[in-house]
Amino acid sequence: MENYKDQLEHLKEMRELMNRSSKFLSLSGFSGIIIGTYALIAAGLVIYICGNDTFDPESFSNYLSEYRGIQSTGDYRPLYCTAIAFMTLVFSLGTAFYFSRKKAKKNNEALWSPSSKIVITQLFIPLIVGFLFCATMAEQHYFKLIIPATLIFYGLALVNVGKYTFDELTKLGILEAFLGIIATGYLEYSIYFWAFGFGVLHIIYGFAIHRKYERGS
Amino acid sequence: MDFIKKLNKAFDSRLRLGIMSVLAANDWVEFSRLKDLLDVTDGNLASHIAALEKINYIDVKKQFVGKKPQTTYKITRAGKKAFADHLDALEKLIQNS
Repeated sequence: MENYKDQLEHLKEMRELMNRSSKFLSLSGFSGIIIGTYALIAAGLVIYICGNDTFDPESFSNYLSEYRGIQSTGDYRPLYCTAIAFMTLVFSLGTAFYFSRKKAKKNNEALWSPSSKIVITQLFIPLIVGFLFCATMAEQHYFKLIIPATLIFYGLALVNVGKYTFDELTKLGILEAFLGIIATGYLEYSIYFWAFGFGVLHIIYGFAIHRKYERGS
Repeated sequence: MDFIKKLNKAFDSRLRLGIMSVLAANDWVEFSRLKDLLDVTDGNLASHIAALEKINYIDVKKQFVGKKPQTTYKITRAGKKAFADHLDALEKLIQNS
């Protein structure tokens, strides 16, 4: 029955249009894999630089809060860690942007669309709040909870954008936030939780998105 | 074949279905965005929009952004219901064949 085939085709087309028009689907699975790798490298560097201090929050915050003038102790480790964190952030955003632009081009879509604008604002609201919160904690020399807080706020940011892009991001966000909460109970291992959340989970989800949405395209 | 009668004549064209799909999934949508998504010419899109507007399935808002005129569209309540009914009818048609 010709009509039936036609209508089925129409339905498929409508569904595709609804998705494409309301969701930002240019996020690339590859960027997840690469960002996860950056995070693993960053965590490795922090563990290498800080040695055992990272795993003992007391001594970590002690030596961090003692420093007042970093010069006086000649200890540049807090500075190194902050620099690593910022570089990871900048490289990750750059990578996500680069691969999204590539994917958008390939799918013949605009990178700067109403849906990408929504994703960016909804992602950055919790991230900026989280950043300010962490900055305040650092300023108060309360370093213990910064690593779990990054996981929690990043998780909430992902939950926030899940409905405007791949559904998988909602699940990833819940996992990240949950991991952050668990990390608060094991502060001496929080860098490992961080490495798992930002590293391993990103890589797994990057593969999952690539397999589900990008293979064969 | 009762359910075939329920298929809305206003949605005969696949372009109109496309317009309704985009508007059903979004809030206000610009003309240029619709054009990009549906990959059609200005004239073709405008005529189908006019038809849907005439039967009150979509709302039109014309405004100036800076010096540029901007036209945006939104599905109306009647349009939403008609579209949902049409989809239901399609579903039945497919189930029964």
